[in-house]
Amino acid sequence: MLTYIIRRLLYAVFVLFGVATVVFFIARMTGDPVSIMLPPDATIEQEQGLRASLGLDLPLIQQYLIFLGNLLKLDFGMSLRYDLPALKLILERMPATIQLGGAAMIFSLVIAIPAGIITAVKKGKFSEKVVMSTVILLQSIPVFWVGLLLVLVFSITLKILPTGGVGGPLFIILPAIALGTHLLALVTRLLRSSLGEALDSDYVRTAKAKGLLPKMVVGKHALRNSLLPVVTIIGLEVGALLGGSVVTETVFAWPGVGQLLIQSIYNRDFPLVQAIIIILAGIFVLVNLIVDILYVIIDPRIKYN
Amino acid sequence: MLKKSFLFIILMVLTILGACGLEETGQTTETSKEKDTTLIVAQQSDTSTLDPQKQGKMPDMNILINMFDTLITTDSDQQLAPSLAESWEVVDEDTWEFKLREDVIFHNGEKFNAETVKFSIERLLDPATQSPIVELSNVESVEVIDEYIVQLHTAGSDPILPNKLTLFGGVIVPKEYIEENGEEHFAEQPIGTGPFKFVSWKRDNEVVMESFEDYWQGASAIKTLKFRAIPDEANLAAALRAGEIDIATGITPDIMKQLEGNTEINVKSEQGIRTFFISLDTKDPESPLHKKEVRQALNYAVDVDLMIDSVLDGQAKRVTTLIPEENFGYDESITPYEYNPEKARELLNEAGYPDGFDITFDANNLDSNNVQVITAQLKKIGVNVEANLMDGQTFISNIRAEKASPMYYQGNTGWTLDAMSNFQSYIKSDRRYNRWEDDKVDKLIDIEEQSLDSKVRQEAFTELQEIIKEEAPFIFLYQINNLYGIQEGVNWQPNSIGILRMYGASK
Repeated sequence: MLTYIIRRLLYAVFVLFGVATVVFFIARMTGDPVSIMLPPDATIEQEQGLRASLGLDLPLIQQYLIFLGNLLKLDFGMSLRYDLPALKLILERMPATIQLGGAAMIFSLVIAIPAGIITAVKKGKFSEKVVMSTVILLQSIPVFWVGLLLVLVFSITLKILPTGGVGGPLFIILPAIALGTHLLALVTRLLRSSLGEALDSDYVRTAKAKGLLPKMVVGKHALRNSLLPVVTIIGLEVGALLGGSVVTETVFAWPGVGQLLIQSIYNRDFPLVQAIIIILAGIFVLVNLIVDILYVIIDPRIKYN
Repeated sequence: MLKKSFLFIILMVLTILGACGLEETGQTTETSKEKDTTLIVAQQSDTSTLDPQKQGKMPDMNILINMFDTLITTDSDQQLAPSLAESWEVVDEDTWEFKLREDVIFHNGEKFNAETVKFSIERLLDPATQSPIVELSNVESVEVIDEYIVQLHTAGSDPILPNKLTLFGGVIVPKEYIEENGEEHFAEQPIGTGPFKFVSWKRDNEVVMESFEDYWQGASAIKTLKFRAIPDEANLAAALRAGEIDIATGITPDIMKQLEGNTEINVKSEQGIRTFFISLDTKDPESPLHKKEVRQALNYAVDVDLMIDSVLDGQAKRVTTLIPEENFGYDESITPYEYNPEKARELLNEAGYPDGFDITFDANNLDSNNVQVITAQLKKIGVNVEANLMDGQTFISNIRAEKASPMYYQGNTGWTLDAMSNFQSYIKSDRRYNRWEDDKVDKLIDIEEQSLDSKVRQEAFTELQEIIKEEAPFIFLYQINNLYGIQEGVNWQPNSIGILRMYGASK
């Protein structure tokens, strides 16, 4: 197990190196931060001066080597727009994004797990049809639209929740719902099919035959076995939550990493874009590793050699 | 098992909500009296820094102008007015002298005097500051004459140096405070002489300020001023409709329409000085745009009044060239091109393009509606325009890298209120965005940029506008209004520059 984890971590270093390289070159293909930083009446000399002082006048390969060298020291450089260390800015924003992602996940699981169980148990009944059609609808509408709809209902019409920004606990409700709908739908459908499968299996029939109460059958025998794919998908969806947070944070003016990423791409703030992408990729790789380790805990038959 | 996990989940929810609760901003505990003296202004972006000499964009300046004063300001008639400088005059060809107010202190009590001005301008010009502010690059030295008199020496004459000191370049920063505490501390805890003191900043969310009771013009009626950043336009309008903000700035005509039916919100429209035009690349001898007749034809073919009525919902005004009517140098006797598609076709015929031609056209995707109208109108005279819409920053990068199409749609704000700024980067042949050359025009630009005699300058500007209209190196369009959504009961007078100075506002 330990050698497996070490091997996976080494592999992660390679992945991050690849990500760093790709983001370095792609960011530079899309434009020039200096031209955006200076007003239109700047002279060519002023532009060149600023470019030189930011080290953006060096040959690309040299810039790349400097970047890699600094990366090894965990130095992501200074943000061009904010004139502050990129890492500091990201760490400042991380809590807000994690909070939002966590709240979205909790919101979606609290609804999705019961909904998944209901639809699996009540197969073919009217209640299953209602839940499933709602779920399909939720999975089909885009995040920003859900967000605007929620604002229209809860903030403008009912005036009970704020339209955006941060403050008290009320502020997280709407963005978390908007961000969580997709995951909610996904988990409901997944749990329904995997629980349905488990309920048709031999051991459940045996349990039923022994005269166990249906509650026990579902709860203790079937549900445990059908959670494995759900855990997998939750791990994979962490990436989607981080991606979705970009849109949600913009719609709700939620000052997290997603909004910072949009701003930094917009301003061609290379050091900041690089740092955010590398750190998000790192989180993604790490979450997947944790999911794989959880497998062993959930399903003792799985072994990594 | 299920019950346990349910309990666990509920605990988790409470934890997360608790964590959010720790960040209570006290918004819920405000008394009604505090509400009356708290003003919340929202725009689509936040400032990138609190150090006023490290920013060069309007959204940043909009926030910082409330904490910092400039040497000179502009009044409601778009005229220069005293601020930290009481008066100013030309001493000789390359020297301006400023007499300073003697009763000004910074938020921490530090005194303002000629040394402060010298320090501020020298810090701005120091390459180590890496300032994006460019308009004072012709200032060679700052000389302290006595405690309240300071002289600025320029390389050559600069007739509009005082105008340049009304915003970015004219911001005054505290000498002793920065020298004692360092640059970084200043950017975290800024100190100015302005009407509001800094309280807190949550990046990309909210800047909070409070009234500076010892402000030299008297304390503001507003005691707490907050600037919120709401990037999404629909959400900005929603926040206003929900009563969360007092003033929403930079709204579009579409959003304005949404707000018009609302009795609690007043939509204010103030004529603005941002002008729009389409740059034409005249330099390629093979291109149809090389011919004057073609360029004139394009101007006759675009029905600008229709564009203003339809896409801009009437919130704009026709301009003859690149200069808005508020700016010095504008000559109202020169009239804009009329809409005349027949004449446009005749001119194309004369130029040798009876069947029109194909051309590409770049624009910021936010301007897609305007671009569609222009494209359709040019098609009527046989000019097939292929529009490339892209995000604003890519668009700017392309223009600066000289990779832009032969036509591009561009806006420019000459905030100095002098036509020199409108022409600065576009007209003279050695400038960055120039795509048209004319020797006579170059000489006229030199006159208006170097002469200190305003009569001579006005004559040069008039002649320039005549030539530019005739030669048509651009398709001339309009100056757009600044639109604001303002909560009923909030008093605030916008200005044509669009700068969000909140001193003088009340509720």
